[in-house]
Amino acid sequence: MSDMTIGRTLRLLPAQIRLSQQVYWRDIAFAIMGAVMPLVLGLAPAALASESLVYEGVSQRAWLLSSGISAAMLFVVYNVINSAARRREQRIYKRLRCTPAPAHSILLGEAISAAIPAIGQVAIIMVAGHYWLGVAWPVHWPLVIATVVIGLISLAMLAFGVSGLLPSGEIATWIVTPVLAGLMYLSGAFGAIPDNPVLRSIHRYVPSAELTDAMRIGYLGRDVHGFTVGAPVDLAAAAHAAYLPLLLLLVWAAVGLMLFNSFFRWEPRAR
Amino acid sequence: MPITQLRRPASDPRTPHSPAGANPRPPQVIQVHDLVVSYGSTRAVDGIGFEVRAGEVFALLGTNGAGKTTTLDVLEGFRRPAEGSVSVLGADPYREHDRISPRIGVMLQDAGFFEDLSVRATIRAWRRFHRRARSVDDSLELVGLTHRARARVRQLSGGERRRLDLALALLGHPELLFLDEPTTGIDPEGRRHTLRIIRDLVAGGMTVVLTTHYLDEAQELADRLAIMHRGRIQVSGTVDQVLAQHCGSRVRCAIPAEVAEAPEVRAVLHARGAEVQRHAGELRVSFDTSDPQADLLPLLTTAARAGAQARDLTVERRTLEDVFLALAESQEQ
Repeated sequence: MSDMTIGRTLRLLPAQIRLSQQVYWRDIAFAIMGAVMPLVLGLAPAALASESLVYEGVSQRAWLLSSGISAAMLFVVYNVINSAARRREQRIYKRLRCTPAPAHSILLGEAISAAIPAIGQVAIIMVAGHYWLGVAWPVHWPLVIATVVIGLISLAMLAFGVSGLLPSGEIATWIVTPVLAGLMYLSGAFGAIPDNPVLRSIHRYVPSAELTDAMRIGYLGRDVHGFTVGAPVDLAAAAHAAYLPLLLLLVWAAVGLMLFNSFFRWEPRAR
Repeated sequence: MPITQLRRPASDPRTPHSPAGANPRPPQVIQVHDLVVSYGSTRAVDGIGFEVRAGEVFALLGTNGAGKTTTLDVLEGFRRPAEGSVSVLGADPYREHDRISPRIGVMLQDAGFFEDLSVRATIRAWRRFHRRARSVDDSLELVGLTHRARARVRQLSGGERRRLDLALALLGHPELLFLDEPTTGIDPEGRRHTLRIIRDLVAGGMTVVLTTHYLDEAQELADRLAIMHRGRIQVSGTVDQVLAQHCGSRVRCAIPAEVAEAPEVRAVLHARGAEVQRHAGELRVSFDTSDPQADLLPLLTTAARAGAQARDLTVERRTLEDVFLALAESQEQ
């Protein structure tokens, strides 16, 4: 990518984000569906948990709330793939590509725009968790914020990249739903992964598992890996514990970019 | 303004077929050599070549599935050629799309809008992608959508959507404009309005590549054209060249039988494969010719010598539609 293209990508990025946001909130049915499910998933497990139950010094509600936040963030995959498949089907992306906006400006703009409502949902879950369920605020705010931003952008870019492989908008929903369910299961957000060698080896590299670990480390201030809860750690130690999951999330973002560059199409696959 | 007045006069200095040496030829904006595009085992475009010079209107015509839109897709940078080379504004449109995209306007044949946005909001949003964009009000006025500015896109008719399409294509003052079926679905008044816009833009120096099913439109607007069929260019050139090469004119007249018997007249009728019908003591003759004057001369002089008259004489210039249909028919055979 030339300097000129990079410059124009950055210059036109706000225009794409603004347009994507404008359109997102106009389709109110899609927006509500996209907002309600993650909120329910983020809050319900913690709300149903016992207030007094503590495991390894961590309250069950705090544990489930931090897990719920990462699970809620996974819905960005669902929203991005569905909307990308729909817009490609309607040839809206092709029309956008007829503007001077470079391809990566459209990709990043759509990814960031998809992350914005998700950031709002994370904030709502945290506030409701604190005031309604009595869960303490995150221990390491900077790490939580970094996890939210990196996690959402990575998932959105990965989803955007994968959307180019899907044959049509109709089929996209049928494919993405089980994939999302699989991501949630392997994240370990709501239950331990069975002690199976295959699952254990996959789990280590699944983006949802990395996201859940990084979120738990930042939120709880503990050195957490899967269901192993370590001692309380300061911000530097927490960042050290979370750097690998965050790095792997960035690798997933790069995979999304590579898929986008290789397979993304601006118009429907079938002619 | 009637469509028949839309064509630039031959003396226009930008007209590509102006006398050699009178003006330097404008630079080539598009060069296509041996272009091949395949979908699986099907060759949608099969080794075509043409060039488009600055300031001219180039029309790509053809039956459905002839390969016109696929060719435009390649020129617009959406598709990579399987073989051959393409240059648009001096760049490879596929690999260097971002370099040339600010200089290009594209009116797609069938692309969606964000249906819940208003017309004004759509233009405003698209303006943000251009460094030097037309104002929203100018754009609305240009395409005659001022009265529909507040309407949501989903409420627009097919013709109004095409106008919005054109407004978006023209937002950035492009040097090169691709128009894929620009007047399809537009009522006659709207069509005339759209053609007037295109004519004005070309008069301002814009280069236009268009595809259309309305052959009269191409005949009136295009400086040069190419007719495609099954992925190949069957005919190309200026409108005059194409008409002259294929069919030219249709001559009809009624002559006394003795005039038709004269050897020089018989020779012309035979050479042209004339259709002859006897009717009330005279012969009704019709034939195609690329040189009506040369063919009519023996017929008229013979009639004059015999003191007879060639009645109901008409010389009807063939249209592009005739050429188009003849080509399509000959290919089918």
